[in-house]
Amino acid sequence: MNVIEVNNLRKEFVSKKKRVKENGKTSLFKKDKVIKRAVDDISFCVNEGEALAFIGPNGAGKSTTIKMLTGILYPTSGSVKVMGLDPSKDRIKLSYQIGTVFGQKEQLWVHLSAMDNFKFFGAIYDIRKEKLEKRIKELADLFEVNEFINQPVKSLSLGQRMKCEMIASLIHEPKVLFFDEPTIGLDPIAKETLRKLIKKINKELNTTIIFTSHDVGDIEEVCKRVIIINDGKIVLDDSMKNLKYHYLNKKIIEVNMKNNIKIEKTAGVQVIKSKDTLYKIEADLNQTTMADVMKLFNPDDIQDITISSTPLEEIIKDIYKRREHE
Amino acid sequence: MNKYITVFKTGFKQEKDAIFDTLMRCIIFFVIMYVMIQLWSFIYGDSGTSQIINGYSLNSMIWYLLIGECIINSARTNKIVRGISNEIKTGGITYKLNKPYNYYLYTISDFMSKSAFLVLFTVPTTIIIGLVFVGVPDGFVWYTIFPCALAIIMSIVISWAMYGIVGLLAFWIQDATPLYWVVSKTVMLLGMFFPVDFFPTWLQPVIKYSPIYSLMSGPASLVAQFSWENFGRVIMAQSVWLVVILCLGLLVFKIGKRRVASNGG
Amino acid sequence: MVAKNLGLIFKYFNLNIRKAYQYKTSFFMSIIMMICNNAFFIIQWLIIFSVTDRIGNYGFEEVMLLWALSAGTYGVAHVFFEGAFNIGSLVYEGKLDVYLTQPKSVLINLICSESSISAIGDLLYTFIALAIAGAPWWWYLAIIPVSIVGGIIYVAVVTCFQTLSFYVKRGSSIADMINSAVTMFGNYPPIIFNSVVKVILFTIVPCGFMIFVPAENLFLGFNIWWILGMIGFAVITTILAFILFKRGLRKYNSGSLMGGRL
Repeated sequence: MNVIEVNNLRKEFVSKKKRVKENGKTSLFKKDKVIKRAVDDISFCVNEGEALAFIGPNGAGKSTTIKMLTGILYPTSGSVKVMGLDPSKDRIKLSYQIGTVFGQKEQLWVHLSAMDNFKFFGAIYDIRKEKLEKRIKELADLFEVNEFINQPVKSLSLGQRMKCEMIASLIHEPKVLFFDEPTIGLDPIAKETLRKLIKKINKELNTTIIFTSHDVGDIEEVCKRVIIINDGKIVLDDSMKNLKYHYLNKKIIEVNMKNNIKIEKTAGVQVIKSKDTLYKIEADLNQTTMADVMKLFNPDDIQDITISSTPLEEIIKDIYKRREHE
Repeated sequence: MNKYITVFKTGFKQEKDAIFDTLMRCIIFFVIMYVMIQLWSFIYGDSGTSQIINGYSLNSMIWYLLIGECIINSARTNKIVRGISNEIKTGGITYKLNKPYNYYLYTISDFMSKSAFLVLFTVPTTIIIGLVFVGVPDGFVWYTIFPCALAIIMSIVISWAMYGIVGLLAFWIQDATPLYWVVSKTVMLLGMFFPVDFFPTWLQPVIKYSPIYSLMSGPASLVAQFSWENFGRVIMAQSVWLVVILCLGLLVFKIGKRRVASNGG
Repeated sequence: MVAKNLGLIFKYFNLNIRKAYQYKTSFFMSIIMMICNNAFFIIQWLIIFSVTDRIGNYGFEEVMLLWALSAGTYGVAHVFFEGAFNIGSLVYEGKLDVYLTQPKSVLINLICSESSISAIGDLLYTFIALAIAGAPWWWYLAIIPVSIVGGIIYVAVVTCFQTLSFYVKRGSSIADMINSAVTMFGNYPPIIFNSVVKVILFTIVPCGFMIFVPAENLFLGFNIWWILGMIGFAVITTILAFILFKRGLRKYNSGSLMGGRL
């Protein structure tokens, strides 16, 4: 069953900008309308129980899309159906069925305990008392928060807070859970916790997950399907496996050696730059392994080394390039 | 010349928010004065122009209120209290303590420059409301503008200096706002709403010898009913209080400063 | 529906009080300060009535009644519907998202979600002012529903103006001004205002229906038509507030617009 159906969805933002006169000066009063297409004609479907990642650079339109799916923004044109409902018309009906977690927009009352918060959300969603208590207990066990459930939220660590944030958004048993940039501003450990939690929600509660991020690393282990979006358009809609195989298995290695060396030609290794003792190489891990790549350098001579994944912008460029070739 | 226009424009753009804010306050100023004018016109009755209450005609009563309101709007003293106490609480003050100036005097003069900006709005508002509703003050001669302006400027300086001390008290008390509130309300009630002569006879000398007279009643009554004798009295009181308050402020700062060091900054 | 929303109002009120009560000193301090703030003006009126006997048919007791009414309506509005006064900044900062994902009327959810603690002092002062006015016993009871209806008018009118912020950046400043005007006009005998001002006081600065109508047509005199007029005005402004808010919501951009709003 299709949980989400999106057809030719568009969202335009109109803003006003001071008009620039012919002589190059900005006019004091006259303003021009500037139309920005944040989401430009996108269509896709999501099946029940799927874990879908929406990735793209900042300002690509992922948040805008999510916000139209959850009924926060009105689409300019096109149609959206979530659980068979139109978010802009049946917002209240829909809200019983979906949950949302927005990075940096916390919904919890930090001065109150997590328990008080859960009870509050229970009341918002009109859940009966006995049912609510049962649900809180279930979730508290699942996420292991019983230890600190009665402490004020502000005294909790970031990871603990995140667990509570998730319980709050799951209290009404939503069928679909939306995450909008949940990892923004988190340290690596907190990010890891969050990924595990999301996986748990998807697997154990069988909740459909929609997840946005501007960091590919975020979704590698969480999601099976990826939609890459850029400039409001869908660039790629593919399985995580394919994406990984084609694009994510390239690593950039920058090494600073003590003295000049010669890099032997190896399959899957490409020298991008070599200047003095600085070397920048790209390794395709489909053809070689990291261990083999490392053998190219004598460990005793390494002054400094950084290994990084291909940035998202590069991947998008790459995808466009491939299309042109085809 | 172009250069200076550009400088002014840039500054103006930067102050855009402040200007909008100030314009809004001018409108509120107008609303408050409008209500007061309606109230007093009613109290003075139909024979308004000739009636005198406690030595004040309707005209001088309105000008008295206008000047008080003008001073309050030109020296938005809650800002200095909040500013100083925030800097003390957050520890931001430590960065200013090692500078080659006295923090207390520096802050007062900094806020004085804000007043210079606000006055551009409040003074025209005051004059327009006064002229439209009751006309020029009784006994107004053009050259009285200068002594009156001097008294008003003095009262603004004293305001900053006095409320600066209230802010400095944050060295000792957690929250200076309740104290600020009591002080400012007292000044408003005993200084702004009514001339000294409206209060019971036992209270009048108390007000006259307190800073309230220098802050409010003095300059306001000077504009409302100008006389050189009155001017001498007001300036005298203001000079004495300015010196006293500045000395007190420096003393409070000197003692309070030690608490920063003892807290480990 | 009504019961559910009432439940929501008290749930929020409860949470807000508990949140504020964690800092007991400042909790009580802000309430007491507000009471003192209102009480300060008693002296103002004592002095005014020392130079004149009456202002029209208003003596000291009648002015205290006005104070009781304005404190009551102001208190109800700010204790239970404080969110209405912040719609502008919430829209501007894109903070409506949370309310939009919850299964409640966005407007009701939003305006109830905040409480002003100091306004509790206003609610208490309502009864203090009545006591000072030497009010008969039934005034103490009648002022409760009157304050609720008045508070609804106040919140509805403020909301109408706050919805401007969906369209213009500084839309909420007009609402802020209406707000200060309400607190200014409401405490003075209406007789001092001319007819042009009275028209304003019965429309955009709704002190007329909030305070003057119940004062003169329920407590000091009695005229059922004016009372019904007050209730009617409350209904109309409330409906208008809902319509305008709903329209504005279509323009809401959740702060996700890049560069457009600086």
